[in-house]
Amino acid sequence: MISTLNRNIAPDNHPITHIPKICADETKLSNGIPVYSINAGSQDVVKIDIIFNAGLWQQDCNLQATLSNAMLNEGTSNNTAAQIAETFDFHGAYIQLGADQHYGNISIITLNRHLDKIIEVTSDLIINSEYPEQEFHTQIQKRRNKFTVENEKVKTMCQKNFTQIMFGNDHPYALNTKVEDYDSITREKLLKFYKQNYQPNNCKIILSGRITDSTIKTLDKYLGNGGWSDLSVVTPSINPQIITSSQLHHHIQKADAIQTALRMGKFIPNKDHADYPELNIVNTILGGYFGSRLMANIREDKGYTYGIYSVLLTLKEAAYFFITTETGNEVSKATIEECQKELKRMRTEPVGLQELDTVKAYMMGEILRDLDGPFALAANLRGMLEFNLDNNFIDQQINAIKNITPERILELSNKYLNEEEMHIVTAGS
Amino acid sequence: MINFSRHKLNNGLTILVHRDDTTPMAALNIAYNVGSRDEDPNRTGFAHLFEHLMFGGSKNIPVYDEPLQRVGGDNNAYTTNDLTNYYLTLPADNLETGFWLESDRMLELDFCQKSLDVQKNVVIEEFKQRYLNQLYGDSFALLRALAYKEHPYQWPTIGKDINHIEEATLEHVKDFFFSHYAPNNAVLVASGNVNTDEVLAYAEKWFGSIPRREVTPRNLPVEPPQTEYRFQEVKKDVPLDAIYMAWHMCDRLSPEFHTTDLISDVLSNGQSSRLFRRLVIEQQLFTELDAYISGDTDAGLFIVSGKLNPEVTHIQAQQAIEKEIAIISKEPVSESELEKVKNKVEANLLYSEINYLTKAMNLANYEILGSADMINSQAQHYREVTPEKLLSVAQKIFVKSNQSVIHYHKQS
Repeated sequence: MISTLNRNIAPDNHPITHIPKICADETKLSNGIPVYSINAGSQDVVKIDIIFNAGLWQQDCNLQATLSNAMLNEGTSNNTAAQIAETFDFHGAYIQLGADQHYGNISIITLNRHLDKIIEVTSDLIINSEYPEQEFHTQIQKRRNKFTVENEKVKTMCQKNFTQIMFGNDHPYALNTKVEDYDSITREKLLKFYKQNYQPNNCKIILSGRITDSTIKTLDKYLGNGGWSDLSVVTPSINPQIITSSQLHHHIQKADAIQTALRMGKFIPNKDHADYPELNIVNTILGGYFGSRLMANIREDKGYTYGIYSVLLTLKEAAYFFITTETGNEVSKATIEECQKELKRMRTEPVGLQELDTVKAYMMGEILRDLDGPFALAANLRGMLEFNLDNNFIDQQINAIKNITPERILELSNKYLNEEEMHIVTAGS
Repeated sequence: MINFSRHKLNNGLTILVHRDDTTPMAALNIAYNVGSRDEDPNRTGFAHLFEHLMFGGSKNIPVYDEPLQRVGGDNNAYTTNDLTNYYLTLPADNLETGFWLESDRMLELDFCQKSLDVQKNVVIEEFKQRYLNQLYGDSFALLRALAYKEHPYQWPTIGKDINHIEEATLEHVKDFFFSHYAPNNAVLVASGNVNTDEVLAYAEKWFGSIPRREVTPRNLPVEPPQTEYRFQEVKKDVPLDAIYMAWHMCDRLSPEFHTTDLISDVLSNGQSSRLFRRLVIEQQLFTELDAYISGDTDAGLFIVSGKLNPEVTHIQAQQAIEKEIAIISKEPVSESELEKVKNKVEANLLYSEINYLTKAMNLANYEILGSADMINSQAQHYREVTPEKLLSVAQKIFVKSNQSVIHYHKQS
C-alpha cells in the first residue's frame, strides 16, 4: 500500500561517478592526412568531418574563406552543381559547408551503404572545384541579399560591432563584412584561396558513427592519393595586432527597433590556460545555464528578456567573455545595471554552498551529455585537437568541478570579470 | 525499427518505454494533449503561456529547475498548435528525480500572482524577440489568418493578440490547467538506459495517485472548404520583397498525407529539387524559396514561401511558382525523381533513430496522434506512393479557389 508519499522530499541523488573517455583511433591516409575515428552508435550511419586550415585567419580579403568554402559544391571539372546536389539527395546524404575563424569545414552524413558514392563525389569537390562563373554570380547575389537581411538585425549589429571594438577593424577576428565586399570579391580570389588552402598537408579528418576498415579504405581510395595539386601550402605568417577601443560604451542607433541587443565583455585566458576550467565554472554560475544568476534575476525575476546568457568564447588565438541578450528598449539600461550588479556580486560575495553544489552537479551532467554518442564525442575531439589538448582536459574539468571553493571563485571573478573593465555595446532605439 | 512497450495506469496515464543502452542517459518526455487549437478565441496564447508557467514551481516543489540540475539533468519544452511537450534528460541512475518533478507539476502547479506576472512579461518579450522584432516575423500569422476562417489554426501558438496574454488572470490559468492537464490527457515516454520494471514502479509511485480529471472535450470547428482565391498585400520595413502562398491539404492521419509530403519534397527538398534548381538558380527569381507542409494534426496547409530578388516583381514570382505547380499537377514525376525523395525520407527516418531523446519525442507525438505504433510504419507508407497517386493529390490540392497568397512588400 502506498499510504504516505512525501512529495516534498527529492529521491536519492546518485552522483555521477563514471565519465567516458574519448577513444579515437588515429591513422593516416597514404598521403599523410590524419584520420581520427570514433567508432560507436547503433545505426549504420557515418559522419565525416573534413577540416582544412582555411578560415578567416588565412584570408587576404573579406568573404574569401567563407565563399570558397560555401561554393565547393557549385561545380567541378567532372560534375555540375546540379549533378552534385542530385547525388547527395538521391542517396539521402547531407553535406554541410561552413568556414569559421580558422577552418574551412566539409561535414558529411551518410548511410554506410552509400559511402563509396558519397566519398567519391565529396573528393571531387575537394580536389577539382572550379567555381564556375555563372554559379559565382548567382551565389554572390543570393548571399548579398541574405546579408542585407541579416545585417538589419540589432543582434547582428551588436555582435559585429562588439568584435570590432574588441579586436580593431583589421583583425581577422573582427566581423566587419560590408555589403560592398560582395562587389569586390572575384572568382579568381576564391580560386587562389582554394588552391592554396584545400590541400592534403593542410587537412585532417574526423570520422564518427559506425566505422569499419572499409571506411578508411574508401577514404584512402578517393582522398589519400597524391593526385591533388602539388602546391605546398604557404601558411601566411601573419601576426595581427589586437587594437581594442579605449572607449568602453558604444551604442548603435536603430530608430524603429522594438528591442535593444546588448553585449558586454572582456578578454580572458584561453582554453589551454590553467585557470580556464575553473573560470568555466564561474561563468556557469553567472550566466552559463538556465538556472544562472543572470537568468534568475533578469528573466525570471524582472521579466526583462526572453533569455540572457554569458559565454566564454575560445578562439585559437584569443578568448573572451561576454554577456548577450535582447531586451525591451525601455529596460536596456536597467538590464546593464543588473548585469553589473551580478558581476560585482560574483567578486564580492562568496557563492553559497547550495548554489555551488547545484552548479557542480549540473556541470557534471553537462559533461556526460556532451560526451554522449559518437557525434558529440567527435565534436569534443575536434575542440581538443584545436588546442592540442587530450583526455587530461576532461579530467582537469572534473577536478575543477570537484574541488573549486567559494574563495577561489571570488579570486577568479576579481582577476578576470571586473565589470568596470568591460566593453559594452548596445544596438536598438 | 523502434521497439517499445505500452502500459496504462488506473488514472489513465499512458506510459511508453524504449530502451537504448548505447547511452548512459535517460530521457523522460511528457506530452499533454493540448495545443493552441484548444484555446478560447478570446484567450489565445494560453497553451504556450502555460508551458512557461510549468517552470514556476509546483504544489510541493517550489522551483523546478534546481532539483533537476542537482542530479545533472537538463530540460525544455515546446508548444505547437496540437500539443504541449515537456522533456528532460538526466544520468539514468537519477531517473526517479524526473518522475518526482514531473508528477508534482501534473498534480498541481503553485498558482501564484508573482510567477504569473513574470512569465507574462517573459512571453511578451518572446513575442517581441521572435515575432515583432524579427523581419517577416508576422508573415505566418498573416497567412494563417487568411487561410483559416473557422478553425483555430488561424492563430499562431504565441497568440492572436498580445493583449490576451496581458489580460490573463490566475483564475483563467487555473481553469486551463484543470481542464487540460490530467493523467488521462497525457503520454509519458521513458527512453535511454532504462528498464521497464523500474520505469513502471516509478510511474505507479509518483503518478499513480494523481486523480483522473474531466478533460474539456475537443470540439473544434471544421474549416469549411475554401471556395474563393484569397489575396492580401502588406507593406513593411524589410530589405527584400517576399511571397507566401498556401493551399489547404489533408489531415495528418489521411491516407494522402505521405503523398502530399512527397510533393513538397519533389518541389523543394534539397538543392536538386525543382524549385531550387529552376527558380533560384536558373531563373534567379528568388534568394530563397521553399515548399513544405505544416504537418498539423487537423487539415493543414501546403505552403510555398520565398524572398524575391530585388528586380523581380510579385507577379513574376507568383507566376513562376504557379507554373511549377501546374507542371506537377499535369505531368507524372519520373520513377527516379520519386525514388530520390523516398530515399531521402527513409534516410531521415533512420537518422531520427540515433538519439534517445528524439525517439522519446517522436513516440510521444505519435501516441498523441493515435498510436505510437505508427512510428514504425512511416517508411512503408512513403514507399507505397506512386507517380499516379502523387499526380491525383496534386490535382486535388492545387486549385485556384483553394489558394491564399500574401505579397509582402518592402517599404520603398
